[in-house]
Amino acid sequence: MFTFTSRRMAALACVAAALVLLAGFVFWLARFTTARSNQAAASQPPLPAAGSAQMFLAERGPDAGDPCKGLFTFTIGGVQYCTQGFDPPPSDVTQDVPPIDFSARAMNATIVCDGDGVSGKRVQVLYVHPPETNRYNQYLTSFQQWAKDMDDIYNASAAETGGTRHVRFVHDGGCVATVLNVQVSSANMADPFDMWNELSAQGYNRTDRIYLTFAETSAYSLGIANFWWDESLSPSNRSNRGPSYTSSPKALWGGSNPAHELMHTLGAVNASAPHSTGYGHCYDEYDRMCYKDDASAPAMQIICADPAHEQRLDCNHDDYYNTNPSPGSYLSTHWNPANNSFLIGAASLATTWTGATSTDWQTASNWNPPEVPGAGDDCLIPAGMPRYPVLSHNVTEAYCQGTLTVAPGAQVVDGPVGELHAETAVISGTVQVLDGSYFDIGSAASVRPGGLLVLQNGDVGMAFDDGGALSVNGTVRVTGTFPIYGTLGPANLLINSGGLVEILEGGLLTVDGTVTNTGTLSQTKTVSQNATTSFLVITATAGITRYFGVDITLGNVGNMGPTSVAIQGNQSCPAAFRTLGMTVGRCYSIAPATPHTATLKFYYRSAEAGPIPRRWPIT
Amino acid sequence: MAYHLTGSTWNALTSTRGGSGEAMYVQATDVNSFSPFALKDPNVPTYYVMLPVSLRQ
Repeated sequence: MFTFTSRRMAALACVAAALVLLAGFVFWLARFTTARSNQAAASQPPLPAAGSAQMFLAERGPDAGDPCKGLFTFTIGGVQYCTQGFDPPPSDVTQDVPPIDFSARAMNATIVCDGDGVSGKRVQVLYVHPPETNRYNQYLTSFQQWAKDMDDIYNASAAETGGTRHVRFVHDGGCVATVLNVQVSSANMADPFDMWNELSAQGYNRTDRIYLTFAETSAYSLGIANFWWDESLSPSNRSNRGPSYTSSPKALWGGSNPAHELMHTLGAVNASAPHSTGYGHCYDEYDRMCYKDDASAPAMQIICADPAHEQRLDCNHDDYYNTNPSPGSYLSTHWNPANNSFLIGAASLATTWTGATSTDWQTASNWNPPEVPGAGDDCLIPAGMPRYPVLSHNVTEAYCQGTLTVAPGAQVVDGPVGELHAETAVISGTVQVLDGSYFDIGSAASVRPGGLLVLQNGDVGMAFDDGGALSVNGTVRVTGTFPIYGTLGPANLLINSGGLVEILEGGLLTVDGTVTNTGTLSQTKTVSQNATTSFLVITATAGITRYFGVDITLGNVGNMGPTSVAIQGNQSCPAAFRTLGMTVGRCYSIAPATPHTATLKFYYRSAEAGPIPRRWPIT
Repeated sequence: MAYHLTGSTWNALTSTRGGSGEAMYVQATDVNSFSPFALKDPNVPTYYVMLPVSLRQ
C-alpha cells in the first residue's frame, strides 16, 4: 500500500473529490476519503480543468527535508518512492488502443542488441493484466513494436546532440524486446501503486531493472512513473539504479507515453533545470516531457517551434537530455539522464576506488561514492591511491558490471585464487591474475599502451562470457598456463601495433579464437641439443593450432640454453628490413643464450605472404 | 628464402620452403649467426610507393 505525505494530503483529498465528479477517476475517491477525510477541508486549492493531470498535483513544491521535495510519495515493499503524479493523455486519447495493424505498417521491432540480452541494467517490458483479461498474445508484437518506437524517440533525440542512445531492454536472441506476461489481482490493477507493490512482491524488484508496464486497465487513463528527484552528478544517483516502475494504461499504449514515463525513472525533469516546472516536467515546448503540470508552474513557452518535436526529448537539450553537454552547462554539472546507465551509449559515471580503508573490494569505504560498485556501475581504479584491490576467492571477490578501468599507475592483484569479473575492462595500469584465479569478462578487454596484464596459472583462465576479444596495445605477460576462451562464442587475441604478448619460460597460452598479430609475440624457452624446440605455437583449448612461430633444431652441438624468439607479425618490419624487400610480413628475432649452429624453421600464414609495399625514397 | 641481416647486408640462407594451407614455413639450415631474420620470395616483386616530393628554393 502507498501513503501520501500528510502535508499535501489535505489538498489532494479535496482535489480528489472534484476528480470523482469531473473525471470519474473512482479509485482515488476511496483512497482520499478513507485515509484523510478529516483533513479534506484544511485547504482549498483552485480546481484545475476537468480531465487534466494537474488536478493530482495541487499544493506542491520543493520542501526542505522531504526526500520527494513536494512530489507525491508512496512505498513499495517498505521503500519510499516519489512520483510526479499522473501525466495527461493526448487530446485524441481513446479508451482502448487496438493492436498495431501490421498489414498497414511493416513490423520493425528489432532493437539494438546488447550482450546476452539479460545481464546488467535493463528495462523490462511487462504486460500486466487482471485474472479476467489476458490479451498478451493479441498484443505481443505490438508491445515489441512500441518498445522499438520508444527507442527511436531516445535515439533520434540523442542524435540532435551528435550522440547515440538506445534503451537497454531485456531482449531475446533476435534482438526483440522481451515482454513478460504478468497477472496481478483485479483490485490492484485499479491503482498503479498497488500494482507496483504486487509486482515487487512477485519478484519484479531487481535493482538492475526498470519495469515498464503496459497495464490492462481503464481505471485510470493517465501515465505514471516513479521519479527519484535526485540531481547529483554521480553513478550513485538514485535514478541510476532500480527497481523503478512505470505504468501506461491501455488508453495510452504506444511508444510516446511509455517513453515519457521511462524518462521520469531515468531522472527527468529535475527542479533546478533551467526550464523545469518544479514538478517533474518542463515548460519549453515542444518536448516529450513538457506540459503545465501545476497551476503554479511557469507559463508554457514555444521555444522549439516544430510541433514534431513533441516526439523528441529536451527542447534545446538544456534541461535533461544531452549526449554532449558543453563544459559548465547545467547538464555538465547536474544529473544528465542521457548518461543513465540503463541507456546503451551512456557516458561512464564510474564508481572510483580510493583504497581509504583496506585492499578489500567489498568494503564500501574504499570507494567514492562510498558504496561497492553495483549493478551496471563502471569501476575506476585511479593512480596515486594508498592501497589497491587484492582479490581472493570467497573473501574479496570483485564484480564490476560495467567497465573496469585501471588507470596508468594503478593496479589490481587478482589472487592467488581470486575472482575478478567485469563486463568490459580497460587496462592502462597493471592487472595481475595469479595462481588459481578467475578473470571473467563479458565481451571485451583491452590493454592500453603502458598497461600490463600478467597471466599466471589461471584456474579457468580468462573467460569471455559473450565471446569477444582481448585487444593488446600494451603488454600481456604470460608466466604460467593460461587459457583465453569464450563461453557463448570464441575469444580472440588481437595484438595491435605497439602491443606485446610475451610468454616467459614455463608459460603456456591457449586461445580458442583467432590470434592476429600486428604487434609482437615473443617467447622464451630453453633449447637443448639433439632436439627440436617449438616457439610460439598457440593452440586452441580444443587443440587446434592458432599460431605457428619458429622451430629450432639442434644436433649434437651443445645446448643453447634460454632462448627468446620474437615475431613482429603481419606487418612490414622496421627500417633495416626495408632494404631486403621482404615479401612475408613477419620479422623474426632470435636471441640464444649460447649460440650454436642450428636448423631454423620460420612459420608464417599463407595470408601473410605477398608483395609488401615499400615507400620511396627508402629511409 | 630466409635472409639474415648482418650489419647492413642481408645474406640469403640455405632455404627450403614447405607447409600447406595456413601453416607455411621456410626452413634454413646451418644457421650460426642469429637475429634478425626475414622472408622473401624472389619471384614476388616488391611494390614501391612513390611519395610526393616538395621542392624548396
